[in-house]
Amino acid sequence: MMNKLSDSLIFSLLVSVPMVMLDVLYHLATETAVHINYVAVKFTIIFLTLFLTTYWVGKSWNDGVFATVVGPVLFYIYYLFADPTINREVFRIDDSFGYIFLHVAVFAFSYAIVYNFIYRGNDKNHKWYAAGKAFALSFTLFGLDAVYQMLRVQLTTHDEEIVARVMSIDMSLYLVLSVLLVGFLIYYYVKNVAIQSSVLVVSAVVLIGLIGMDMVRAAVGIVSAGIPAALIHYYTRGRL
Amino acid sequence: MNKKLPLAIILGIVGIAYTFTPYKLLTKTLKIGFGLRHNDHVMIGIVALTIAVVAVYALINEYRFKV
Repeated sequence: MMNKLSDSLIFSLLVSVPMVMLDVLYHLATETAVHINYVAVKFTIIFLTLFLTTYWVGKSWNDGVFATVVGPVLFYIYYLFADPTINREVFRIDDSFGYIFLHVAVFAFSYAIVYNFIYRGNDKNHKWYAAGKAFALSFTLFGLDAVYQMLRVQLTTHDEEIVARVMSIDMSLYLVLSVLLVGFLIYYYVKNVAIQSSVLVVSAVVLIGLIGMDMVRAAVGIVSAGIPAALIHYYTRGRL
Repeated sequence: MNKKLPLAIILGIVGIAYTFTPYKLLTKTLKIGFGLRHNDHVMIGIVALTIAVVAVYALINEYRFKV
């Protein structure tokens, strides 16, 4: 069994990265800028709120409600008092009051799915258990892949406005949905951990390569897929 | 006294000071700007506020289960 610190850290990571990436998908769909600095601040606040709640109090539906409301409200306070770092005449960002509800909704959705699959750990043949794992895997992979894409452009151009245009909704949806489907099938039908992990990583690399048409990005996919797959395995191992 | 209470109070004060105080008041009058930009102050404040709010929630939870 893992200790409380690593348990809280992994749980918070598996909830907050998918939450931020669900929000990113919404922004891409509504043509709201995905600005790397704001995404980083959002992730920091959401992760910190959830981690401290899990570490100091625990994991339950009540704690989930507290974290899902407090995180987005604190993030909104940041928006209210910080100076804009991106040209608001060119880019629309999620700084209006109504976005609190979106952030609460995606956070609650992500928390519910991950919490649900963890507590179905004793019924590992259940389809929701595989679906929950596939959800955490696909959105965490999407997050790490997005970080790689945006950081690469940020480091080469040093222009935040170019970075804000790096991601597109169609490519992101193709990647998320295909990894979600492949992840579900593998988690549901393959029970051998070594084969399961290898097939997951190889399929993620192939999918990133085919969708992104970028071999370097596909090679980085070994890490982008390997980290969430390893974390999910490590986290659920002790509970079965 | 619970260990989290002083932590929550101190971080709450730091959070409120750094998030809500105007930049000039913080740097020129109070001289606690440490040469940082306004957004850095807001970020420090929000992190401190986050810790304080969760610490208060943890305290309420402990108290609720004691009673």
